[in-house]
Amino acid sequence: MDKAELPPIEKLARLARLELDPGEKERLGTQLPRILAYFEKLSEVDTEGVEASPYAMALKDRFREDRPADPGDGMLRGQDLVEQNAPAKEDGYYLVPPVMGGEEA
Amino acid sequence: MSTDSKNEKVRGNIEAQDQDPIAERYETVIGLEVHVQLGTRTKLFCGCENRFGAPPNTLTCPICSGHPGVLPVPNREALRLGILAALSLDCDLQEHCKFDRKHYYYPDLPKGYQISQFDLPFALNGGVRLSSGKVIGLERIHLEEDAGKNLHADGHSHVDLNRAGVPLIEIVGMPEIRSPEEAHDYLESLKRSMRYAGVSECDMEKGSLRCDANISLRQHGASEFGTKVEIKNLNSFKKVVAALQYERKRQAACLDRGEPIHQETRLFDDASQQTRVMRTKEEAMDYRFFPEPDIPPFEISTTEIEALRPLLPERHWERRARFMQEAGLGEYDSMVLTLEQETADYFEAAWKALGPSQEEAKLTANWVMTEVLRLSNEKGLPLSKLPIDPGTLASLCRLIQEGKASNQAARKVFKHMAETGDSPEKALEELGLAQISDPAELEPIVQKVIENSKKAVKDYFKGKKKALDAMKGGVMRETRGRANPGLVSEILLRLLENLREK
Amino acid sequence: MSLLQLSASEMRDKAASGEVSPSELVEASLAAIEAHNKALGAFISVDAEGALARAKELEAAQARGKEPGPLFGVPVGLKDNLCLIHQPMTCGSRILEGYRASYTSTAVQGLLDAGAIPIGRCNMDEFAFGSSTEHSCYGPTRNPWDLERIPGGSSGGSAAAVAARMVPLSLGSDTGGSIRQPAALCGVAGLKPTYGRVSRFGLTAFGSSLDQIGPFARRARDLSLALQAMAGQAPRDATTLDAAAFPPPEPLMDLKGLKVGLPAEYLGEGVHPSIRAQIEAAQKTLAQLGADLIPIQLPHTEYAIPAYYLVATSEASSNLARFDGVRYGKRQKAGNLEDLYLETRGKGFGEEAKRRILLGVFCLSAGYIDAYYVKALKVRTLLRRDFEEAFTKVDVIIGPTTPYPPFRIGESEADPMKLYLCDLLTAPANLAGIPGLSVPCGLDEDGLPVGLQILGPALGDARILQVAEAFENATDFHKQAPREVAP
Repeated sequence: MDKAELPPIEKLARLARLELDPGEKERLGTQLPRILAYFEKLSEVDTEGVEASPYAMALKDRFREDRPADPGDGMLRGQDLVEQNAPAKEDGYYLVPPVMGGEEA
Repeated sequence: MSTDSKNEKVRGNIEAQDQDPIAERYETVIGLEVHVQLGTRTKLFCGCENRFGAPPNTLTCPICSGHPGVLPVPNREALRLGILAALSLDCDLQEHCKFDRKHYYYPDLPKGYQISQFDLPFALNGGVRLSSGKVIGLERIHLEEDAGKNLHADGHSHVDLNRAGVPLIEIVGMPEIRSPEEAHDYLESLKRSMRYAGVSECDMEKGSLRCDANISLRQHGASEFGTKVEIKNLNSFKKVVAALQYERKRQAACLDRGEPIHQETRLFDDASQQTRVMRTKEEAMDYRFFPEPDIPPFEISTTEIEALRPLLPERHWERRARFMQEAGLGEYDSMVLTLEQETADYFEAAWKALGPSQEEAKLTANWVMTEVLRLSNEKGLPLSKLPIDPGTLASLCRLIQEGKASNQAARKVFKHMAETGDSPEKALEELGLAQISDPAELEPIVQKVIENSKKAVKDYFKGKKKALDAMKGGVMRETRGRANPGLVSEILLRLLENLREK
Repeated sequence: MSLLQLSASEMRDKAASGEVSPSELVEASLAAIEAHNKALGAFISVDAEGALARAKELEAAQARGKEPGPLFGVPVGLKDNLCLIHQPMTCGSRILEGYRASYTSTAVQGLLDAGAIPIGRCNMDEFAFGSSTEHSCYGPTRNPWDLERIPGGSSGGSAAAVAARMVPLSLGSDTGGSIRQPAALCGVAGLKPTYGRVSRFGLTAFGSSLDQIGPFARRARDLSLALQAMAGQAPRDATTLDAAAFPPPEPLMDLKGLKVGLPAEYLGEGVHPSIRAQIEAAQKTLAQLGADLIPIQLPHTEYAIPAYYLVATSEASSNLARFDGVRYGKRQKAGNLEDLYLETRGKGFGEEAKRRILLGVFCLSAGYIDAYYVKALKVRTLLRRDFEEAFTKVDVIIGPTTPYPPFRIGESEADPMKLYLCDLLTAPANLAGIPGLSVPCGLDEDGLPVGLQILGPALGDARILQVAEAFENATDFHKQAPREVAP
């Protein structure tokens, strides 16, 4: 495994949509490279020709039939979901700030 | 869309001529990525209804809303429809497939990732046949979930998740299209294939077919592609053409000036009919694809494929060719009749009921293309629900053939049948439009007209052929147009010659 | 207090026979929580009203002649990452402040159907990221055996609640040891079933290919009862196994002929001497019960931690992308969309969560995914083969659950790696998907509990539970209790 250069912590945080305070920036900025350096230990293992295992178990072909859910199955649906948890809503929609902008807080 | 405008579009398509001087300087290279919503009852990963037009956030559950702890279970029917779509485009179905997660942040994407297929899509290769016969290759087709809708209004965005999780196939075409008009032809053909296969309505207004386009220009004969630009937000065929035409001009102008083309994603703006930069290559997304651990991989077996193959109807281009050959129809008529499978089915059923000849095919085709499609349009009914079925249309055509109804009378009969559901014979009777083809009934009328047309008879004997038409007209007036015109001429000539001999 | 010395199955039998009522059991549990929770921080929230109402319903059903279920009247604690409709679920995170679940998890529904009574929500490391239950926005849970020490984690609240006799049974989740490790450190039994045995539907995902829900109790028999109630192939979880259903096994009189594997790697240098001593004693006990002890090797064990953390953080970074404040959760004020994400997630997640999300985002990013995530998946294949190979020779594998005794609270703060290494002996089972449990096997020199880990092959849950029960019957360790709550 090639030794990876960790991108600047700010760039990574932006990719992950995480605002970091200065203390976090400093701590994470020093810890992450150390943790990754430890992970480099895997480069000792010869994995030539070894298949990757992204799944826990060797299952396949798990499908469901094209049947509408039973309305009495105890799950909240539709507007009940909006009512119970939406941080902001309007006319049945979830409300979010505009993609661009910043004039109003 | 009205039948007329549909026809007009097809004609425009066929006649599209590229007289743009850009074509002399550069070759245009276009590749399309088309998203088609699959017509399942429920969404791809949950049991919510897959339906357009419901009030916002009413077709949702914790699963398609991305609540904590939910898991996706894939819909078998979506894969089945996907396989049908792929077969109709001659793709190679893949034995080993899996789902992957594609990450990006947007309010209409509830989980922060879209479940899609990355390196093991369910279909590869295949192609889309243009009306010219040219085949545009496909790279792949994969199955994925749709996002919801983010509607922008007065300083806020409104999020509706009804569409989130609706099954889609993404059909990725090779960059083998060479003009915006070809792109249009490609989309028409693809749409027809999808509708024939019964996998999707492909209604762009409802968003069940959507398109992104890649376009670049290069010198003729160049082996390398030019820098490509991706255009998003193309939600009608017209916009695809307009955006590609604009972008082609823009890129040509850049190249003419010696400026480089930037690899970027652009948006088509409807108001200005122009494209503008959405994001540059530097801002390109890192989607962080990785295998979806919540869904085991799946396999498509030969048995499954062979079980589905017989369900596919004849392909639209094959049917079109057959209509030209067997029925002797022209290219345009064949195209119109095969636009929709049900039109072709209707035509073919009526033709077969009427008789085997090409004459009969032409008579039927004329009626289907005019009165039948118009009626379907006026009533807003599919052909299968019209009060006049193919067998009835054939009966009406037979009346014309046998001289029992004139074309004009038949049109009135058709309208009457559409309202009442009567048989052609009954309608003809009721409207008093039955053609008089009995010589015994016609002869006294003709005799009477001759007696009342002294001048015309004189003119006729002087050799003025036009005088005959005047007398024919007289017979038609007397019979209110119901007289069989051929028979009238015959009797008129016979009686006049008798008179001359006297 | 004495009611709470009963095991879950004993409580159930007394309630079913009418000797005690579910209401009395609930009230006893509520009183114990009232008495100890301030010091322990095991519960984040308690639903006294709901629990009492449910107890009354059960009593009414019983009066109508309904057959009492296998967990009839048993008060249970739920780790706060399991959904129960309309109830708050925080995952120990500020970002889910105010969230109320929109459905009930399959596992919890299984307990409800068996007659159990959810009493409250147990504390946990934020989104199950941790091995100490210090990383909760509601403050740490303390080890009932020593209030200055961690209870282990991430299901520390669930373990402490059972150890402190607040409830006889609780649920946790185990991604890299989050049930077995706190069970060991708190001196109770904890089971991570075979992956795919219990549906994960309704468990807030951490590492989707690693997570399993499992029970804590003081007796192996109770673990079996709970697993029976939860296990089964589930239509809402495509990763559950066809053979997931779990009939509880018959107890074994002895362990004659049982082949017990002793992996050299599990008693290496890193293992604390006083833990090693207790494990060696446990080996003798098993041998006395008739088991054959067979030395085996699990050669890739030393790579389990990096492989585990790469897989777990990669999956976690994806699983936590949904917490954006758009549809639910605590939203921060923002003038545009980008700021909404940055602020909501920046203020909503704690530092450990951020650390793991950042690691995961990096490991999956273009150019690095092959060197990190994919490489880890290949090592995972090798680890799995180690176990497959071993289980051709032995029936179960034993070793310590944790390499060292519990840290003092705050001790690992400066060095996250130190805490990551706690999972050394538990994470391999998650990577392989095999079942594992921890049972108490003595106290170390400081009087802190030590856990014996028993691992089995996939779907060998019954086997390891039988071994655990036989071990319990031969020892008194399960009767040990922290001083404050000792009978």
